[in-house]
Amino acid sequence: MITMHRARVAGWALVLAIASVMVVDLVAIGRDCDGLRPPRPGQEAIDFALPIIDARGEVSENWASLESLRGKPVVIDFWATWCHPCRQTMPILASAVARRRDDAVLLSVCTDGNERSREARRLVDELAPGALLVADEGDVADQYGVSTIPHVVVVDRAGRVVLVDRRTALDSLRGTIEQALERASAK
Amino acid sequence: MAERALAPNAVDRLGAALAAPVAALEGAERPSPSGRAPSDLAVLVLAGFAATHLVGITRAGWMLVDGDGTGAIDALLSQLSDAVRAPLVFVLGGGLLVTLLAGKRRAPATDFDLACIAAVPLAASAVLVQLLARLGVASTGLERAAVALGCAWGAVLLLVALRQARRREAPP
Repeated sequence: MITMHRARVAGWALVLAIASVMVVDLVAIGRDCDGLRPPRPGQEAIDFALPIIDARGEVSENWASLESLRGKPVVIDFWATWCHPCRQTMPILASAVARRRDDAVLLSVCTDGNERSREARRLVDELAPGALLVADEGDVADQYGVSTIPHVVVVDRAGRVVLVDRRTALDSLRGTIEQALERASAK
Repeated sequence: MAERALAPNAVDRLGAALAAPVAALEGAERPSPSGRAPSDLAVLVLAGFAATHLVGITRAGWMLVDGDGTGAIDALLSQLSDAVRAPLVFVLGGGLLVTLLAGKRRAPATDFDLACIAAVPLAASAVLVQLLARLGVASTGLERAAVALGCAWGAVLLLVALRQARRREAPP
């Protein structure tokens, strides 16, 4: 009987814990439901700041923010070191940015977080030299509604989203990005 | 009567896996409540997922509203697979281990029921970590400690389950 009582108390404590988490989140969602909407073309890009992975592959104490890049067209590439399709898109993005010969920036967001930063640096040096490499623990990717990678977002000079690309075929990716960069630079 | 007293509903059975695990594991050997452990664990994991991923589910809802149905499904499935992976691996690995080490006394269906009961602390620790985060007392160290505690607790329950399985009557 004591065992039964103990089990019941533990069971309801578990239910209470689940309900508490749910209530806290529901309140937070209720306060800012719109803020959870991933940015779409035409909308203001969500600002973020992430630590830069330096030339040695260390997560440095210097941070890069989207706000600090305001005034330049930015291609944000969400990727991870284990993602092979990402390795195929990186050179395409890098060359699309390099071909413009303007102030466009490739912001390479490695979603592996602080782990595997050396591997991330090696891959970027090899596949997208010149990209600004930052480490994301997943928070920024969540804000941008990144469910699959590679996930590319092009932001114009005014900080507005021009393109959100999740699954453009590789052979048409270059054209899609170049067109988006054209629009991003013009604004 | 004894069975009724031990496990009348899913909440009590899940609680028993946490607070009275030996009784919960013994209950899985009885004919009447047998087979409920997987559904109890599934309820816990799915309820935990719904509670702890509300923000992600809302984001996926927005993606659906914005016309990106595939992205929404991708996002939901990705989060769901993250939530389900650890308990599923634990149950498959643990159930297989108990079945293999039980020798002639093995009863695979019951052995996997036992593994499901042993996985309850692991699933509960995931909820606990999220609750601590909401209370603002979570740190990476505390998070890892809670997960390690859940794993260790589950491993001990697997050992108890194995001992129980080896005490069954051997088949003729």
